[in-house]
Amino acid sequence: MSASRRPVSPERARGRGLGLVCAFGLAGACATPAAAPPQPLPFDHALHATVELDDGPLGCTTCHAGAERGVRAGLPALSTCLSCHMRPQGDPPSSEEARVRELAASGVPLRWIQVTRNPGHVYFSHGAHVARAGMACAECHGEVTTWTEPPTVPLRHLTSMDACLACHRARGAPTDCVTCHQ
Amino acid sequence: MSAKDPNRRDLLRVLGASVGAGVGATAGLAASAGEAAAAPARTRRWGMVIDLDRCTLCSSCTVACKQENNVPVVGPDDEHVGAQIEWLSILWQEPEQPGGLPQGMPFPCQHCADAPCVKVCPVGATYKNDEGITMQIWDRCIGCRYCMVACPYGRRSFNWETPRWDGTQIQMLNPDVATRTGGVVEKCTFCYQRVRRVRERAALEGREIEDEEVRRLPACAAACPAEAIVFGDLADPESRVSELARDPRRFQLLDYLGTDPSVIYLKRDRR
Amino acid sequence: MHAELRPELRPELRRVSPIWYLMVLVAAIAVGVGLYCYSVQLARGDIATGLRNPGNGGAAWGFYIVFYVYFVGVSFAGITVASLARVFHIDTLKPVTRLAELLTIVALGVGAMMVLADLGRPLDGLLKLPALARPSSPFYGTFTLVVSGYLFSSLVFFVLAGRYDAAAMAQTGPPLLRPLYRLWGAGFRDDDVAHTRHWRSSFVLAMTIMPLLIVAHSTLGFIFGIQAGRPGWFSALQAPAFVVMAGVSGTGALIVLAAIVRRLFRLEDRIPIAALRWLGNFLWVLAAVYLYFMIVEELTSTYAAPRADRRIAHEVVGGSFAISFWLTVGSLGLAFLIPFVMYLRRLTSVAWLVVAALLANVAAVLKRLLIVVPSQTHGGHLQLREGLYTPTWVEIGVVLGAAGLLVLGILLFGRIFPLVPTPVPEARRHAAVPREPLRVLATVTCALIAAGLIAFGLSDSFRMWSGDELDPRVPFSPAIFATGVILLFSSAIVYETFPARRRRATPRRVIRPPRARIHRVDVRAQLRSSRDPRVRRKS
Repeated sequence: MSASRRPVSPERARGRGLGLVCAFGLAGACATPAAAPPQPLPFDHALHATVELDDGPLGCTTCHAGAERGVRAGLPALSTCLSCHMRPQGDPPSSEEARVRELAASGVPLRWIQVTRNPGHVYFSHGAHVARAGMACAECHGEVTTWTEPPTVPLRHLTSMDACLACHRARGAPTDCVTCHQ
Repeated sequence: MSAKDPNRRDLLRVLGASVGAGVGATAGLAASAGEAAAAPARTRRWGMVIDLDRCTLCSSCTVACKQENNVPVVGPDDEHVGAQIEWLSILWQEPEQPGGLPQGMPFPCQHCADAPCVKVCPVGATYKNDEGITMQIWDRCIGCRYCMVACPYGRRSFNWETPRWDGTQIQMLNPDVATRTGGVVEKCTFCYQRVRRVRERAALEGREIEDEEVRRLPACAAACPAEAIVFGDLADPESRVSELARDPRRFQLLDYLGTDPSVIYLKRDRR
Repeated sequence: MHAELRPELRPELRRVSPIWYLMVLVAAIAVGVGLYCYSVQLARGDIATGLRNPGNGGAAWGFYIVFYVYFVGVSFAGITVASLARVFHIDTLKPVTRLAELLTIVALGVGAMMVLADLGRPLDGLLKLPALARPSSPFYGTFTLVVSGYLFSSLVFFVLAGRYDAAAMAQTGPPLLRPLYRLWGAGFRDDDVAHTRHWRSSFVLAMTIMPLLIVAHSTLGFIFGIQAGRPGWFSALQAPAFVVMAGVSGTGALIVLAAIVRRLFRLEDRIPIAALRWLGNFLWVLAAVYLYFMIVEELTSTYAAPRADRRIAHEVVGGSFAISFWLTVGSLGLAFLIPFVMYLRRLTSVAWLVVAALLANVAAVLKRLLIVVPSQTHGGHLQLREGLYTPTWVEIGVVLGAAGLLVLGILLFGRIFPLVPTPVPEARRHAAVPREPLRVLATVTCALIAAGLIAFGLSDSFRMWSGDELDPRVPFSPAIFATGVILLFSSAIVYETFPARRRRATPRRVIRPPRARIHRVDVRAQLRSSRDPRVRRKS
């Protein structure tokens, strides 16, 4: 280092430091995976798991109708929500809960943003896994009853064929290609 | 009937049957529904009988097939001659008398039991599943086209370019069937997506697949107005296909090659 | 030692003729054209080629497969000539053995590129073939036996044979390239024992390479010959015919190459005409055999053959392919006649040999085309639509690029390494080799490990451990098999390059006692500074 370098003034040093911090922050922000955009309704799984209907607790299949016997689990239509939320629910009713009625009144269709999506060439049948193989929802989806916000990241541990195959082999399920490939 | 070294086929059939029985037993443990034990696995052989006496050569089967299976439409210009993708097409033949009515037959993949295409695929993208369907897993295909030249019937098509669906054409795609990329081979799969649905429903309800459910299951059979195409389990002697297959008018294409196809034709009755 | 050799026999790099620059330029342009055409194919898809569905009357396999088979066929003669020269002590061929091995290696690389160009999804192919390939498909043999076994064994043969000259060039060659020569000739001691060892190992290599060659080329023939559904292809003659045609085209290519190299690199004295004469004789013998095969094929497919076979035979001989067919027959006939007449008249003309060799290659390309295309466009047992196959400029460009790459590879190599191996006198090849158990142990260990990898890789490729599943138990078992084959041939390298026990050339370093520190005292200065009155002081 030569002795002829000019010393940096305090203002300039602060500016440079700030710039560096901003650069790192931007890089960090770009590096983290983008969170899914917010859902039209801020659904709280944990809250709804405690709900008791007349004929028992609010099960998964009330909203995800195909989860037990269908191919696709499905997402609820606005009418499903309105079957309870036509009148204010909750003690006390929150402003978020009121959005259901606002959405119904506005006439805009309810479009959930699907976070977990299989590639087009994969056939995954919920019915085959839940009704036929007897798996519980939590085995793949985790403890849904603890989620206070809608999920923002897809199921991470099923991102490759090997993950599916490992479980199939362990449980004696068919490993024929055409079982899952369409 | 799987795609392995022929010397071990018998051993593997036994293995496959025991594994199949094991799978059937596992599937029988239906927890929440409390159903009776699911149907035990059985060696099926899906097959098809095409009655040429009933066939009017209307070609509805070809249209239905393209619709059901998201078959890409390839341009009609000169560059695309010979690049058309056909899963099921009509094999046109010379008229019986000159100037007479055209002759032909609906011509899907024959799903040969001893398929030459299965033997030559270097990566196993095409294979014979234990229910007798010669399946094509496009995701595995590397596009070497060996299966295409090996097929004596010429029933395989290659995606010479990446298929495109413009604008609202995307909405007519069948979500149960994957769309393919360029550079892979595709062919008739006996509408396996439909077979799979029927099988799952039957298993959920704890019963065997009824023959009535599958008689007109593939898109071509469902669309045929003359009911000329019948689908079913050739290994079940009581199914409609087996009954039709015993008809004295039966013949198969290129049977002398030893491919043992699963498609049986019934000759036109000229009386 | 090289220093003892007469100057005209020492390995050296000579000044090239100016035509070398022209040829390199043309070859480089061809490579550029090939790259451009391939990029067009990648962008637009295979629709840019003239290939189409055989069910719709097109040909799914065309120029690329034709030239794949052609280039692999060309590589046949190279290593065959080198192996024959070794096994049967054909000293006339010794000057061209290095060129032959080089031709084999470069042609195989180019042939592999042709297959990749043909694949619809080449990147997937590069990943899935080593991971999942099935031995029941003749294509498995293509990339394991041909690419790994055949290519690598030729590479090993080439590298081991070149160590002698590399060691010499490390002393006398251009300074820029000396690191390369040192690497290649590393550990080579120019004594009779090393030469004898090389003589022995090259014999074993040659004996294992020759059956491997037959198998590899037969695999190429099996790709077509085992398909009952394609009349015109289904024939037991395909495998032997491919082997013989490989010999014809390869010998022809080698003759052309040797003649060009003689002129460009001014090696007329090093590559005697006798070598070319021998190759010319080999050419007419093989050409005669292939003409015989063609006659047998024609008779069989026209006498009382099924209708589909006869249709193709008539189409080839008298129909749309007639011009190609008769060109093939004529070229092959001349490729036989010219060297045969020269043999009878006991004269050798390099120019006529080159003509005959070029005609042999023309015949080879056309015959491959006649095998691959008519059975698709006019073949099939069913009366499917008849069609046409015309290669597009994309295909022609890619093939030109491949040919350019072949020429470029050889010409560039000739500038950095002598193309003619230095002859080793017979007397030096039969020394008494001392017993070295460690060397044998290392070689045998390498070979045993290789055998283990081969056994496991092959059995898992056959899905023996997979139960009911379609994929090998351990992923990449075809690659494991190929690695085993490569390692098996590398054991020859282990055998030759294992460090020999050597006598000490320099004596052990003697451990001397540390030097005694002698403290020097300046007596006069001491005396000067002392107060002793006896010392005379300067005033």
